[in-house]
Amino acid sequence: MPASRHPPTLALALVPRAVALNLALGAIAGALKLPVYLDSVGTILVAALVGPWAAVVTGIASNTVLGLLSNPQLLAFIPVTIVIGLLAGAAARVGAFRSLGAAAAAGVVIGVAAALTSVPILIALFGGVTPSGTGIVTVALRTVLGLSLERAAEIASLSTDVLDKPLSCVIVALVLARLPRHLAARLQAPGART
Amino acid sequence: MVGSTNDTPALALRLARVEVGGVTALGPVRLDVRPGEIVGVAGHVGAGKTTLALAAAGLLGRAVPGRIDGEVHHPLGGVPPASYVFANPWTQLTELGGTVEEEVAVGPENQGLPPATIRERVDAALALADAAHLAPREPRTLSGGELQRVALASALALDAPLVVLDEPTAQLDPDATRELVAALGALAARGVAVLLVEQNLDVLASLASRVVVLADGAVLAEGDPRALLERWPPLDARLGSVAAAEPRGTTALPARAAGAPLLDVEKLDVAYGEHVVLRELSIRVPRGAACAWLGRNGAGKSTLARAIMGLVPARGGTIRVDGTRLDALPVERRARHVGLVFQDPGRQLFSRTVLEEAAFGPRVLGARRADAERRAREALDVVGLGDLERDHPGDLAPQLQRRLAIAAALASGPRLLILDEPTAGQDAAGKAWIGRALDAQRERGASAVITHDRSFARRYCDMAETIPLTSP
Amino acid sequence: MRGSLDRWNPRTPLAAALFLVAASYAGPAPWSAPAALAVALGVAAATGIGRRVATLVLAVAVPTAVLLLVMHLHAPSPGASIVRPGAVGLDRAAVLDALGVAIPLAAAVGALGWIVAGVAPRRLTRALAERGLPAWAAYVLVASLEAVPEARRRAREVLDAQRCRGLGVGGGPLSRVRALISLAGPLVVSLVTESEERALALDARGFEPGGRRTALTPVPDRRGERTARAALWLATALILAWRLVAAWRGGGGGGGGA
Repeated sequence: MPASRHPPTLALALVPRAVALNLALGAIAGALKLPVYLDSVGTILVAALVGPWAAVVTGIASNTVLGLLSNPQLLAFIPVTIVIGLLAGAAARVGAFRSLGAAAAAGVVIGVAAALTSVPILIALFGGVTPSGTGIVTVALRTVLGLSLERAAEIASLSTDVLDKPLSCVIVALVLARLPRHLAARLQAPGART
Repeated sequence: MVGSTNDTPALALRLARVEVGGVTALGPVRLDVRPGEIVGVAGHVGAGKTTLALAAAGLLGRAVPGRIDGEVHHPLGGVPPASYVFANPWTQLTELGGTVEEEVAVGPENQGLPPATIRERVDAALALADAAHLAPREPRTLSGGELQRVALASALALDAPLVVLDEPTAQLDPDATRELVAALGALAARGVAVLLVEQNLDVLASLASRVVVLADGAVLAEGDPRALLERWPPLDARLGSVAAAEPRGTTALPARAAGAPLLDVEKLDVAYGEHVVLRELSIRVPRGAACAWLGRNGAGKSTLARAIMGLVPARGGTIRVDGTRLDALPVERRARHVGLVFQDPGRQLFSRTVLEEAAFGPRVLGARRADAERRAREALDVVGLGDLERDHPGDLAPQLQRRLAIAAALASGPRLLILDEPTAGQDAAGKAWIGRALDAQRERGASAVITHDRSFARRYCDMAETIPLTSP
Repeated sequence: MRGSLDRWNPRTPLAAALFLVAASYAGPAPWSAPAALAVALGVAAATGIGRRVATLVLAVAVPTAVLLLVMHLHAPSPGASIVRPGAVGLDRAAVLDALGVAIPLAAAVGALGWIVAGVAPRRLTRALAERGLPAWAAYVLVASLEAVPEARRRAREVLDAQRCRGLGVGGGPLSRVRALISLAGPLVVSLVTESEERALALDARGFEPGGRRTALTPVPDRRGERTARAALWLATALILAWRLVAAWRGGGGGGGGA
């Protein structure tokens, strides 16, 4: 959020709840045994409701909070959350969340960009693998198919992100259509945007 | 706090009109509140009470969109001139404080006061709100009643001459209500001016020196609360858009009640880890009855409902509804037999329209759209929401959302309907509509109502059971 | 519970942790990273949070190292047959490579683990606010800490409420995705709706997003700590500058990490 103008309290109060969404929706996906994290729904939602800078703040705060509470390695992936916030904000500006198809398409773009941003971090700091499903897929691709480390890490990251981000964007589009009207109007009123 | 004893009011309100969201929410209102005085505001849901409260506190047009024609004066000044307490104990925490003490300090911290002054303010406010013993606790571990006193202390810490409270007891049980009433009385005795929006007429009668009754955005009556209370029955009828349903005596139970009960729980054991909540509990609800389940806070009422629904596993015992054994069924299969409506309807609302929301249950249980919508409309009519079927659920007042949740449960056609604290925050008309839901359910099964509201139980239920508190 | 680190101004352990992160990734190889790891674990043990920090380190570094070794075991390289596990030992290069990733990672996680295990997040935020972190940023961090457990609890409640209406959580992938939407939707809507009341609560208490707030209990800052922090920031800057120069000259120092 630019220093020249401070966020209105309504947009500000939304951000911690969006952070909490990023960290809580995974549990619901887990209860349904779906192979997605949904850890950027809150970021994308804020991008659509408020704007890209608020979304960037949401993304940074999500990884900082979880990084300081339990997993310090998440701090390394803050650049990925920034990319997601900015792209989701851009998608919102062109109206991508007004239809489910456009939202899914925006999700593919966001997913690819997120994966491509995370790979250099993965390789530089983690040798290409993190102790997660993605890491195991990377190892499998490298050992079974003999792919290069970079390619294996890219494909592994893409395989989760291009499923995860479109689904996240579709959830956001569905939610936007179902928000109480008075609230959507307040959040999107001129002056409420950052 | 502010010890002014002169006759200058802390609030001088001269409103011609208040517009919220492009519609007139409130017509002409004149209102003064002097130091040491408690002025009450009553009225049905949607009467304009919250608009009045927000305007009086100076929040309308600033924190909440709205346009005021008229004047809101705070002649005693103060920075800020007014503080505010909301109905919902849980969402009015700023979250900036990790302990009660820190939460109460948030206002003075925002004012940029030095630490020693903040400490004085916090200690005085906690003492005045009867919450000093809660100081080191984490807010999220507190009960609704405790949180509401913390909210009062947080407001008092701002040291404003006027405190505005918007239905502070709406979500509290009778004990917590009594404690808050005592704290408010002490506050006025210390010279603070209090504007109290309240549904609970007993609270107003015991505290307020004057009461303004609003209906549809206009002043309907004004004066001494006890005098108003005597005239209340006709007022009550006008307050609700539906007259409170015809008074019910003790309803004679249908003869078949003597036969197989609709709900038959035998020797139910439920424990969370080591903590035994229900031990060998046996309870029945006869067919065609509405049964109130009473009991102290912490008793196993909600646990019983959750066990019947399968949300908590029973360690032993049997549960039968209309002869069908439920114990072995998963939750979603039990939904065909039992409808459970939780305290907070916000946990389920996710539809574009009221109709769609009410049709969700029948749809997931396999009904065709047309059939689901027909049943949804019938259920909405039962609770008086038939005219709102095209509205957005999130735009409804919380009291109406709760009735929507009840309609949504009715639409699925369960044999047993369980309502958990359905009357919190409801006005007389709202309670009458919930009573109608119990009537509708009598014809096809039975209901159980978990409630603290004994007058509701007496008026709308046929029988009462006390769920015992099991000592571990 | 948090050990004796919490008695310091939180900015001091934060500056020290960031110095160790910089040292383990950008300091001269090969000794910087092991030294940083030793300091991270040593300080943690000395301040009473050794077990917690060691757990954090092991949980990240060991699986990463194992995955890297497995990858080396099986990665077919030109001219070499695939080595079967157990039959032949790993070659030196593979082990060095795995350690080259795992040790700096362990050191960085260990140093940041001081903050995770030893510093109360609210106190850290307050200390940063006293140094000019704007009120809105402090609010986002602190309120998020509160909102996370609340959202997890509410996710559970939404799951319960929707199952009570007959929503199944099993079935094929398509029906589970539909169930996901019926579960995620109410959670998102209820949290967004709640923001309105939270914002009103902030306004009612005079919160200014760009304002300066005071504190009921300010975080003390000793003179010695201020000096120590200045030294740590300087050392961090020197390490990073050295690394940049070395990289510019053609990677003379050799990578501690990558």
